[in-house]
Amino acid sequence: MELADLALVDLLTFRDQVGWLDKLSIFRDVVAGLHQMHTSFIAHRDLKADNVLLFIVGNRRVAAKVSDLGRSRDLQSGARLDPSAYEWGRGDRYHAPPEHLLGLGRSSVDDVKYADFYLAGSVLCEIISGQQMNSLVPHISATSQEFLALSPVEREAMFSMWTPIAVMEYSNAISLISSDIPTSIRHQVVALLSQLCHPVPQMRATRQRREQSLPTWGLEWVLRRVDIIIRRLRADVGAPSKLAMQTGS
Amino acid sequence: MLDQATELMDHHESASLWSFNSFGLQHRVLHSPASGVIEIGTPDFVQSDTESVGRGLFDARTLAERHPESPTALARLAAAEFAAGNRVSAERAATKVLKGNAFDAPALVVATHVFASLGEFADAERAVRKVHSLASNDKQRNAAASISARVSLHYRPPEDALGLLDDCDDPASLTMRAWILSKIGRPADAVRDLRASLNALPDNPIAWHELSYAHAVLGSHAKALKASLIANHLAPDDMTVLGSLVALLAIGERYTDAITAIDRTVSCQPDNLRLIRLQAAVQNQSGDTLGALRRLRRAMRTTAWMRADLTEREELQFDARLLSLFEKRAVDGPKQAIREAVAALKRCGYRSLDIACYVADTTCSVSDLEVLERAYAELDDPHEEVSALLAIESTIEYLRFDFDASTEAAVKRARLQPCSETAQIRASYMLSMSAGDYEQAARIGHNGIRLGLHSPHLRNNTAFALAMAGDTEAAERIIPATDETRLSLATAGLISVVDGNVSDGEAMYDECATHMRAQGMHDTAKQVEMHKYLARAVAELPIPADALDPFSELIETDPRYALICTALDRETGLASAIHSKRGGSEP
Repeated sequence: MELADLALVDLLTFRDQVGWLDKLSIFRDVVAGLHQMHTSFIAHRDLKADNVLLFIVGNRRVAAKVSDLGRSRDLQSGARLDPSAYEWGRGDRYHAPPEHLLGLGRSSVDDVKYADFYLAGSVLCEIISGQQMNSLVPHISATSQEFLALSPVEREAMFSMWTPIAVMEYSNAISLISSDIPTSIRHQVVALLSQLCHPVPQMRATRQRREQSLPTWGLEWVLRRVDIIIRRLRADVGAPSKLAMQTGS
Repeated sequence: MLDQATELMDHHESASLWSFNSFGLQHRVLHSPASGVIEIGTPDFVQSDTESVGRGLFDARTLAERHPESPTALARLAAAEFAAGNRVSAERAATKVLKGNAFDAPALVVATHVFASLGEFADAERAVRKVHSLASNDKQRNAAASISARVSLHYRPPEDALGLLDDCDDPASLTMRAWILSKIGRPADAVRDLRASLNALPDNPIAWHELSYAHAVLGSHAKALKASLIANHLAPDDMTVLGSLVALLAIGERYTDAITAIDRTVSCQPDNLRLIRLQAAVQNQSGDTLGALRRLRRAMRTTAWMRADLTEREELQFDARLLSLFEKRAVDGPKQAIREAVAALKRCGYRSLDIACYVADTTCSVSDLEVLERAYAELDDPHEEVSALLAIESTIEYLRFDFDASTEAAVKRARLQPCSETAQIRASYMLSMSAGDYEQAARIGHNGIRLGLHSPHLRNNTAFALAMAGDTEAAERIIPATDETRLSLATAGLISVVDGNVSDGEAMYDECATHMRAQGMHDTAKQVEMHKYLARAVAELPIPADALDPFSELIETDPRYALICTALDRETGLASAIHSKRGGSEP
């Protein structure tokens, strides 16, 4: 087994010394890893910066790999537990998508993938800000407590009322952390982050998939968007990717 | 004119009381961006998930040990410690973020949330001020101002939070500003901000709901209904929005539309017993008491009933018993209803807000004080201003003879529940009798009447307030033409006395008292007699020194009499003189 040089979470503590091209490259690797898992019918369910390992490869390039599949699930084998076991999610609650915090998780393949999309977005949020998305959104724990007291049907009903508030809350949180993003790519990064971390699970998929109810296989669309952002940033800075960071190892 | 509670002890007209206690149009108190609550306390569910907490906390602590000076690591640690319930460690870590030299906006945002959740608002404000100073564009400044205002709402007057949002024009800030404006009694300004917010973000049911509320407070039924319909269209399953819509439709006597609106939600939530109760309430209000009773009894045979918890069952059963009492029109029906309510409340461990609110709205007996106090202790939520709880609070203070506190709670409740006749009647009466604020009492009454509330008691109380303030012309215009209870006779008497027709006025009081006695309502008759002295006091006519002698014991023990005594005292100083003469304590 390979020995990692660093965990992504360590990199976050000196993220201001890491170039944006490298940050995006790391995120691309994370998405590629998740894409590979999804196309192999495996959901991660516990993706976070602590579970992303960094390796120095070749000419000082950093490669990121998704690790810790302890809570992953084979999507071909179907749900093993009672549906109620999925209401509050199966992964780390600190990073969990809002539907899991609000007791609205489901065991369907699409729902599990939407949850992974959120976790991928939360990793992007960590790369940008050093903090997971849930810590930046105020009173999500309070909302969670409110939902806790309700029946599943009532929770569904309340969710529709909570959604517009949540959209504004997430938007505020994202705008607060966006000042560090280079101007040339800020709009695209914010748009991608807003989509991946949308409070409504279905909204995390592409519009085409949403409208045509296509299955949510793969994350090519995220990879494409990250590639475009990287290209735009390269054009802006006019430099090839270089890693200027301390590895500490 | 007389206390609604008194009247209810003797009459059978509680349909409007029963209907919409917890359903009517309310100033929303959920954790909306407007209500702006950053929760204080530790999320219970996180604590229960020990594996997740342990792992997350371990990760955060390890990172902080490896990077002890990093604001990123410290902020992550603060959030993890807080989620694990370690308040002291959470505060320590957040303080390090705040005191650190590095300006890390995301870490400061997390520290702000942690401080606010811990109730350390001054530190939260300091942290968010740093975030604000780091903002480089309007959107970031708006977001920081929004957090700042929310923190401020917790420990400063609402006007301060309003000031922080002065320059913000994003929909979230505008909605929050509107919410604060409604809270401080500026609904017209709230309407302006909500319109601006909805222009930018039209699909926000919260903003439509708040707009409906603001219009209702302004007494504009048509506009309130229109906004409420849109809110219901956008959030068809939301009970608060639905309750508002139903209340507004019921005020317009559009009972069929109200039942249809509930039906739409029932189709999505067939097991929701509250919806069935709401439908029955509307049906009863439309005059179909038997139909409502049948609906409730049908619900008791469903699987939803089998699955319901004890409180839900007690509530539905109590509703059915109440309807049954109304239907029979038994002489001691209202008293029996209160007894039944108290028993049901005890059975469900004082956990029913609806039943407790019913008791609060109908009782005037000091013997129910303990039950209400227990229910209040059980149901109180220190972070939210719940209208039904304010009803209980108001009655508790009333039964403790603390009329100022009772008035304050009643007025707050009336503001939160513009569609509730009971809330408006109570507030108007308490303002007149306890505070002597006849103008505000009349204003509350006028708004309710303009909104379409058709209770003769509200008209009567409004006319009473106007007459007490000396505006007998306006009082005459508003006094109910038909009043089954004949209480308006006493108000007409007050108008006559104030106008100088003393003997005519007093004759009306006597006629009213005689009528009450003939109906077996001896308590009410006695209060009418006391009110006659109040009328004389307002008209600056002499009052016999021993006028209150027949009531002295009642004044000591019954808040209804004590309240009239308070008003008399304020108007004349007579009561206190009598008390000091006797060496007795003032109620």
